[in-house]
Amino acid sequence: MPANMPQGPSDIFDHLLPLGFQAYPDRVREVNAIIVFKITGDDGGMWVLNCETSPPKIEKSMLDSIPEAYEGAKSTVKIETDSDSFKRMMLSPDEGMELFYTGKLLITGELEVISRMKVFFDLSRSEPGIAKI
Amino acid sequence: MADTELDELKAQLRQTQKQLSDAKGRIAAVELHSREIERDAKIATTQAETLKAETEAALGVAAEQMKMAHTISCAVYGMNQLSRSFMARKITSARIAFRENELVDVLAAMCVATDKNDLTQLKVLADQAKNKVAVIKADGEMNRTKFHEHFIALGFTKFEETYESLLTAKG
Repeated sequence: MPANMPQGPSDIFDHLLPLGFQAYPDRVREVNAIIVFKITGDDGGMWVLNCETSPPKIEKSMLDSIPEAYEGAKSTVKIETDSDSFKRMMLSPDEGMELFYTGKLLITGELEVISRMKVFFDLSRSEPGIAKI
Repeated sequence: MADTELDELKAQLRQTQKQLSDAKGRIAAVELHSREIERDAKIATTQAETLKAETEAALGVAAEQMKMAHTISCAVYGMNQLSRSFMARKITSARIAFRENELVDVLAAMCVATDKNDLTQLKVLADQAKNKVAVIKADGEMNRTKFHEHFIALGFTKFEETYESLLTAKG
């Protein structure tokens, strides 16, 4: 990863994306769902993006399963991948389909939530100083 | 009519009856075969329609899955870009904080120069302060509250006007 970029999932979910959640709470809440990222490999872990609460928050989970607090949440989607695949998606939005068809990106849960995740892409495009694609 | 002729006619009749019977049998067999063909055709049509529907459904699911995978990929890419932006902000903010601390040191030296009534040194330091403010302003906003706290802690209340002029200075 280039030095001026987040180095992996923990850099994003533990340190930087929470700042985005703080800066744009209303936009993040448009997702109105629980998104669980389970990432295996180096720098992996499980993170719960709670986009239902006000303010929205990101929690790192030490458990292998979705934390009990989120069991039965109305809209939950779980995204499973490995650290290298996650980094590929960090660099290019076109990687997802190949990863999905090679079984490296697994999606379970309330699938209609996924269309609302577009908010994160839209938010990044509205950020000043970031190159647009 | 002679008996022979009669026998012959009877034989012909039997033959004709047999041919008729055979023909009926063949017609029945053809009809049966035709019904079988018709039934097979209906089954084949149903199977083709089912297959078509299944194929369309599978294509629809595949397209939907591709769309979902692409959206997730876009979301992760967006998260990365958003993170980059906040990373840059953190770096800028740290740089501004560093420059602000440097500025506080210059102001502290200005305070000493004022107490000594050293106008020459005061002018040099004021220029330095203006330059540092210009550098901070190029990066972003100064932390005005924090700056005031430093200002007051150093006993700079008498420099309020200088502070304001520093903020508006062009370097």
